[in-house]
Amino acid sequence: METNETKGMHETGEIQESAGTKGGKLLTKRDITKSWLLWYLACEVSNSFERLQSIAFCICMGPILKKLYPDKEDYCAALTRHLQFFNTQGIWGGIVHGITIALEEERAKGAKDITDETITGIKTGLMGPFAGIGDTIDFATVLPIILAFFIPIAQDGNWIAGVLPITIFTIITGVEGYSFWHLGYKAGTASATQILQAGWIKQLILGASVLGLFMMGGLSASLVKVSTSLKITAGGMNLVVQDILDQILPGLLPLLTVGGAYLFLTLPRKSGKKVSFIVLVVAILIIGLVLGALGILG
Amino acid sequence: METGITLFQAVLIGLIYGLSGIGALYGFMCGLGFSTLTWALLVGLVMGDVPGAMVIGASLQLMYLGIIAPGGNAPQDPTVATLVSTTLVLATGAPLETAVALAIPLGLLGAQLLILIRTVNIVWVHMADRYAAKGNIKGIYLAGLLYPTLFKLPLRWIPVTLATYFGPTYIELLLDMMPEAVINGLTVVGGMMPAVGFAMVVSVIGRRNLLPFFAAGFFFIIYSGITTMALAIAGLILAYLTIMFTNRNKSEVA
Repeated sequence: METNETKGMHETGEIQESAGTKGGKLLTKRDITKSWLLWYLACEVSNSFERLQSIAFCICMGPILKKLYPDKEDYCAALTRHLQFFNTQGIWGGIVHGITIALEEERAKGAKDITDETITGIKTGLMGPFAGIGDTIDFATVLPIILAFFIPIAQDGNWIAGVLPITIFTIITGVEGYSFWHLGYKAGTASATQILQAGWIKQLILGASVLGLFMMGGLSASLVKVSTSLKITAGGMNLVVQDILDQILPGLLPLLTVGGAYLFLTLPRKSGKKVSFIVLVVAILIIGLVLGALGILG
Repeated sequence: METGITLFQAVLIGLIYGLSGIGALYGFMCGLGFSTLTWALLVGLVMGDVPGAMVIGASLQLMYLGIIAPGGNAPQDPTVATLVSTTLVLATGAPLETAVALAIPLGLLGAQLLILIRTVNIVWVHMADRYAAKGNIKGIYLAGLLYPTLFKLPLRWIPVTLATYFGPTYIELLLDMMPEAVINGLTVVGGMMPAVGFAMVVSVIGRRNLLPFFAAGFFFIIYSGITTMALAIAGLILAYLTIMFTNRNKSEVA
């Protein structure tokens, strides 16, 4: 994948310079936005194991290819070209679509050196890196932070917690998606390399991680509820174990539970595989049921 | 509170799951796919108990908080888990904690259903190939939007309607058989399960050298008991400071 990426970028870097002198755009801003809307609509509808988001990619390119290739044969070939395997994160991955549109436009204007392989190479080379960034920022960080913020409100039975998180997330990803699509089209392949190597993305992820970890820590403290009901009778004195624990370090048991779950998920094991979500959930189910039934926790 | 479920309510819950699976409107639908809070709200509206549904939605959200779907393959389907378990708990008056235990197998079944759908979707890709060769963009629209939807809608709608309509009888049987100790155990599980969601999020976003920020947040709340908004503001300031100081270090080195 990486060789494709670098090869593709190198080629188009030269192409764009040579084509830039010809000037004149065949596509309007409206065409680009319409293409984004089609993608936003179709992206996950037809996702299949064979070629994942391929039909959605073809659909969003449809009107653009129609405009670029008046000759029917070229048009059919272009449609087929964009039915190939494709999979990315639908928001940040939009940069790839923008670049692809720009490449198709250059090609339609007569840039002979943009071949099928160039376009497919760039698509498959860039879709992975941007999917990684998009998944990390949008789905692993932004969404959990927003949802976690509203959980205490939902615990009070308030309906607004069912409406606001998804509204906020839709607005954020909508603005991102629209911007990246246009950015990819305007700036072309060079911008993709810049973005992937840019410091600000790393800073953004760092900042989001700090915010996310701090929020998760704070919310763990108020939402993970583990306490022991053990009592020790010694020398005629009743000692409540939880009281003793609270005097040493309040929140010790919840912190141990989250820490234990984290270690369970992340510690490498002999088989080399990580523990899955399901295994962790079932483990907690069993531990909680047993310790609860025995009267140790609760 | 009135319990039980009518056929009409079960049909509506099934329809919600059917529509949720269409997958159109990317950011909105993919976000919803992880948002049990919203699905719980919809169940609450159908079943006439929004506050109860939101409380269940919150406990499920805590469990599913860090779940992500790299490459679109999630190990669980939080949507069906929330829709069915919330409905069953509201319809039977079962303890809220049972929702968490019910959600796991349901979510796993939902994930299998998604695998079936993705496999069948291969058919439409080959159909689209033929349309593309003829330059028939309308055909590609149909293969990419309409046909998958027509297949998915009943496949998701009908089982959920059946499960929510006939499920309560079995749940009530189960609850009658359940000893007191198990109910206690479930309460403990309900308190512990949020640890899963937090551990998942931390394992994805937390580089090891950043983990002290988790501890900072934890003890900040333990000792101050401050509100979530205050926590968020403190977190934003911390994030800003971290970015600023790491930036400065770099420019000094350079």
